[in-house]
Amino acid sequence: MSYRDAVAKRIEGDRDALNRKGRLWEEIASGYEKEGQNGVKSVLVKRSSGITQKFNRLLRDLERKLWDRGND
Amino acid sequence: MISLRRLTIKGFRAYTEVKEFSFDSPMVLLFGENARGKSSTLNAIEWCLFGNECMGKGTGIRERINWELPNRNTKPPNVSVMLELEDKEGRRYVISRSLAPHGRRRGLEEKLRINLPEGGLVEGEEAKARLQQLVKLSFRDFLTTVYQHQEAIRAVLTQEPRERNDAIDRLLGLSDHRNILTGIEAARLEKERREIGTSFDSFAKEVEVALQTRKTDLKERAVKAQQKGLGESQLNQREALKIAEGAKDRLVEFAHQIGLGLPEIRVPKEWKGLSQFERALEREIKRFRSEIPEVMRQQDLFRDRSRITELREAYRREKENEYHARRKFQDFIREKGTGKVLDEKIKGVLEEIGKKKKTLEKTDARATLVRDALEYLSSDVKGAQDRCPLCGNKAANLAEHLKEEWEERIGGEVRKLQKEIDNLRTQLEELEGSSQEYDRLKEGLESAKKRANEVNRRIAKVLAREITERDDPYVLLNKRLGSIEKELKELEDVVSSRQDILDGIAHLLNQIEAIVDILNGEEKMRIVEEIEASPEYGQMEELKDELAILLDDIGKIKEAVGEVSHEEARQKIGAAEKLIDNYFRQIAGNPSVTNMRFSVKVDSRTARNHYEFKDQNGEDLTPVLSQGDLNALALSIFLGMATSGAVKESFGFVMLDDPSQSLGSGHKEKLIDILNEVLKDRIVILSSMDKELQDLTFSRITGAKKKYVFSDWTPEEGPGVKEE
Repeated sequence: MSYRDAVAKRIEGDRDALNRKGRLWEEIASGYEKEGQNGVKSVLVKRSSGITQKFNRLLRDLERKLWDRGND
Repeated sequence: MISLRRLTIKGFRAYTEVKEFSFDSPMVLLFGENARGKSSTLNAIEWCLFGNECMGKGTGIRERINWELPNRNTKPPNVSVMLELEDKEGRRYVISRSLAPHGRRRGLEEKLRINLPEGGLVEGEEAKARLQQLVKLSFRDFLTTVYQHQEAIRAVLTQEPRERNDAIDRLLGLSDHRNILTGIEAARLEKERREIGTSFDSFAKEVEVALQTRKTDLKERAVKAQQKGLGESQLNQREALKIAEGAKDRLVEFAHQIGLGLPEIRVPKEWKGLSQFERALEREIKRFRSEIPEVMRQQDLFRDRSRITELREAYRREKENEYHARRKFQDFIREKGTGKVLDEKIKGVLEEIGKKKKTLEKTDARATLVRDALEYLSSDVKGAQDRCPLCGNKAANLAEHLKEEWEERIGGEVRKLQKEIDNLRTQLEELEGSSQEYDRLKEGLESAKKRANEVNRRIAKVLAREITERDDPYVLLNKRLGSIEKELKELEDVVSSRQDILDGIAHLLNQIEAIVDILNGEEKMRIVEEIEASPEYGQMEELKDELAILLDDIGKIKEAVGEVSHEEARQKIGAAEKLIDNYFRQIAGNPSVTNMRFSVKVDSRTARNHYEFKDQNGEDLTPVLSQGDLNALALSIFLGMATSGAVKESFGFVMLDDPSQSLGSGHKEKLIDILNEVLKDRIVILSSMDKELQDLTFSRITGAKKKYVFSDWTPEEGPGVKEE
């Protein structure tokens, strides 16, 4: 059994969590097979930066609203 | 098991011309100095079987990064490797892998072909699938059980535990797991989670503080509004607009009353326009305060009062100056006379001086005569030398007599006259000084009179009437001041009542401002509340949670990778443990180690494998192992894995590349003895530059041997390979 399948089998959780982790593992493994360690890193950084960028954009907008309109 | 029978190489790395190798003996030695093409030979087998899989970072071998496959001196590049394999049923397959320019852009195209034992040829994807069926092993397993790479030994030789664990993972074919764990760590997502968490908490705190501040502000503003006479029910937009209407009406009426114009000011429809309305009304109130006719009259009167008070003071001052100047002048005249008297006195003194001077001149003439006579008598001239020319008396010693006479009669007279003249001159100086003082005092008096007249002229102008000798300007000014004060008193009440009206309107504006402040605060509080309840705020929380879930998932995957890696390591070590122990003790020949226990643990923090080598007493061996022992350990693990069946479907050959890097003579002998065991069921391809190892191979290997000597490598022809 390849390491890819072995890890996929090892991942646990309910159906949703399993699907989610399974997809993430597929992305990680594909990234690794394409570009090695950097491939893994870029998959994860891309995933998290998608979240952090959205978060930071919302935070910036709300902070501006708070300081421009919610303060004297 | 798959056996290797024949290898043909052309244009691959060190090779230019076609070279062929046959593997019909169990021991094949590739012998020669460094950089003669030995490793390229082993690499060619590897590449033919696995293609691009054996290149790049993913291999875990540092030298494979930017690995250049085609030989640089072969133009155009034309790589071709052919490998003849034989399966356990004796069927032969010819694997051909090539790399050559393709198309106009001269890119290199890789081609794979397999000549099948049953006849026929397969290419491309079909060939790839067929090769996988035949080889069965992954490239990782190939590196673990077939091809002992130089770097695998070098890495084990390190004393740094993490690097050694990494190297052993590679020897066990677990590089992928370790690399993935390293890639996960390199992403540093915990830092992202902390930052997002901190940012969110900090913003939530800011929102909370803003809400509290707004609430406190509103309470304070309500108190201020009450202090300005507003009831709680008035603190709203409707009341604010109503008060604004009232203020505007009152200002319009006031303007009408005092006869001043007022630009059109509209009461806004919403409270937000009230600040502008307030500013406009304040501006007009300020203007009215200064433009009320009574106020302007007050200002004129204040100006007049100030001017008259100043004139009155000037008049008093100048009159006093004139009085003092006159008094001094009159006192002087009384004491020293008028200017005319002084002039006549000066004239008299001058005449007297003139007379005295004439007398002095005459006296001086006689004196000259006497002096001449004395000079004559003092000379040797003979004559009437005994009669005095002054007194006419006879004198025996005329010269002596004359000296006495001159002193008595002329000297005294001259001194007396000179003294009289001096006295007269002193008198003249005094008189002249007095005359100048007279002129100065007279001039001072005239000037004082002139200034007093100027003040009178100004008074006449201010009072708008002529001032005659009969008038007392001081009294006239006082009278005028009295009338001004009276008028000012009358105006004060009127102005005060006007200002009261304006104060009333200003108070209404203050009330409006207080309500606007409250409405403004309420709006800001609403905005802060909206922020807290906004979908964006909720999304931020969701994103924070999403990142936490992502990190949790990554953590779980990391654990799974670690577990798989650990389990696989444990299985492989379990399968090969005895052989590895046996090989290690044989090669290292360390009498203090009667048993080497090779085990694996999991580092709970990194999820990585941590390998332990303990002696029969459970003591850690790594701190006491020499470089040769560590080399022996690396070879033992490789040979153990290669021969134990830890990886199924293994090849019928192993390739050892420079295995004796740090081995001593004793170690080498033992290694050859072990290879004798290995040779029983597989071919050993041994690449080395070590003469001692070569000699040991030929003296101690009991099976058939073949030796390829690599020498005289040239860029044009590649390695010179000779079979011995």
